[in-house]
Amino acid sequence: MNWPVIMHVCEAAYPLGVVQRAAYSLADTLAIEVSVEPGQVKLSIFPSQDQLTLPSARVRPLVLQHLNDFALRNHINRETAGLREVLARAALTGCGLPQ
Amino acid sequence: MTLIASDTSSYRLLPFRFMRMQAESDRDVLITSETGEYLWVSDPQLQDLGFKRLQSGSAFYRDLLARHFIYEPGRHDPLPQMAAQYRSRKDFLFQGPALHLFVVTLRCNHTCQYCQVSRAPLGGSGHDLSEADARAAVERMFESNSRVLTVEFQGGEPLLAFERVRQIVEWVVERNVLEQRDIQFVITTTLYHLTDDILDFAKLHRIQFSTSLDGPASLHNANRPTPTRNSFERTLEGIRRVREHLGHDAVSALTTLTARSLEQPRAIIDEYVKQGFSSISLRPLSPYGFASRSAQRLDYPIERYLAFYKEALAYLLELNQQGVYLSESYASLLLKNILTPFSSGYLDLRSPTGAGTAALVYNYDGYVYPSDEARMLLEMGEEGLRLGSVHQPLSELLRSPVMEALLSSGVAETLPGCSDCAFVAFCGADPVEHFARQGDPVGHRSFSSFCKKNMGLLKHLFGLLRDTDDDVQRVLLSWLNRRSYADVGLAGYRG
Repeated sequence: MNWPVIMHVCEAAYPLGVVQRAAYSLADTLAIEVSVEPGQVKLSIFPSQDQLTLPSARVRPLVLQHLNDFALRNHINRETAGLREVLARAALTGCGLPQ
Repeated sequence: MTLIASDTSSYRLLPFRFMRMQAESDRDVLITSETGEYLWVSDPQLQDLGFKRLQSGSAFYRDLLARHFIYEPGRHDPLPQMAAQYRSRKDFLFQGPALHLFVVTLRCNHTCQYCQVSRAPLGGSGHDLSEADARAAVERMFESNSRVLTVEFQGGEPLLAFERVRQIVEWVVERNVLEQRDIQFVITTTLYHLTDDILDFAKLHRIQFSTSLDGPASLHNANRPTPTRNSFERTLEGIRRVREHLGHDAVSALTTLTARSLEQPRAIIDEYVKQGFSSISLRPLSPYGFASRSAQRLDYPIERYLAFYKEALAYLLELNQQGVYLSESYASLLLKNILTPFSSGYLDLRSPTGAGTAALVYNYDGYVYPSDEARMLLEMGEEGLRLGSVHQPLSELLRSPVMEALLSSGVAETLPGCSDCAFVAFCGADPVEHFARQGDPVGHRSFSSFCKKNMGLLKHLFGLLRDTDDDVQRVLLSWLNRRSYADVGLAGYRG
């Protein structure tokens, strides 16, 4: 396979934070250089190990699966923004290290 | 995209995380709530849930509602119940450090290649905890607000400094007449230097012993060389004497797994069965003390450990179904995190980190460390994880810059990778391990042995909980409840 594999994704569907999280989660397999271009994000994908056994045909589907999953996580986080903090505040009132 | 869903549906999302398990199943996505509830769903179900396309009234909808993945505004307020669940799961935050480790000496007669704590020669000087430092350490311990305190004596070999151990126990007992805490004493020892005097004292104060048993004689002796080459026999003799004086359960054993150990999971387990233990701890080698320097020969990739662990666990499940009670202790802790509303409280599985907040180590040099692993790094030349001197008040030690650094990198829910992980409610943060391995207390999850280990074990356990028959489920529940296989009914935990 010819490296790098280049992917361009729409910034509206896959904001930079989503792309960065996907790249982070794949770091043991793929080294992904992320660059922002007008209206889109470019991914330059390299193997992160010399002897990567991932078949070339699976690189794009794998990255796309991760991008979609992180986009969904991003959506869930936006929908539930602030609830984690409210919950932690309600639950943990009074805790702390002994002074 | 978002607007379509939120305007037409009657439910709202509560925070949840998901993970694809790549299993041979339609429902291969695990979703977990903020409070540790979980469900297996299919990818279409996940998409419908996330984009609020679910039909209210379906069984799946009701399940999501009951387990706090969604709520219906104006119809039910999930917050009070979720807050109570969250509080139960993080209950350990309401108590100060409960585990207090006293490193009474660094001297030891063993020359174990994998030694995690390093050691000094038998006759070495300057490696024993002084009386003044020991007394100050007892003061620090009682400054913790924890009602339950564990006093653990570590080394080196703590029985080589037994007079200091005796002194500390007596001071603690005397002070506790007023304090009225629930106190447990433990000595971590090779049992090599046991005497009748020590056993009588241990009986008087109900002291527990924790020793190391690495498997059959050939393996144990190879891992733990002594000049007389009889470490295994001496350990068994010590176990026998403790049981005879103090009762069968007064001694427990830990296994350290070297590369050599990974080839013989069944032999190691058979030895524990033979010696009548009810639990075995199959923990991987840690990158501390001498173990790090010997890593080339003794260490192994975490993938090899996971393969070993799965084989060992399968054998344990088989034995337990035949009526032998032998639990794997780490699996039991993880099961408690998964299947109950409570945390196991185990240091490595806490978030915020248990280093310093759950445990304190009073080292032989008079300094205080946030965990056993942190003081082991000292022997590798790393002094950075020192909280301060044993003569400083606890409140000052817990406000030290080191604690601040550990806590700011020790909340799993906020760490890169962990914050998106469906296992975060069952896992923990270990900034000390990441500092040791990656030179950064946050670390990168993709290259973290801690993450790979916990991820591998949690995936395996979730797979067992979902896919195995009732007999295996009963064994897992028997470990959770510490009851025999025969006493446990059908499981009923399928997510």
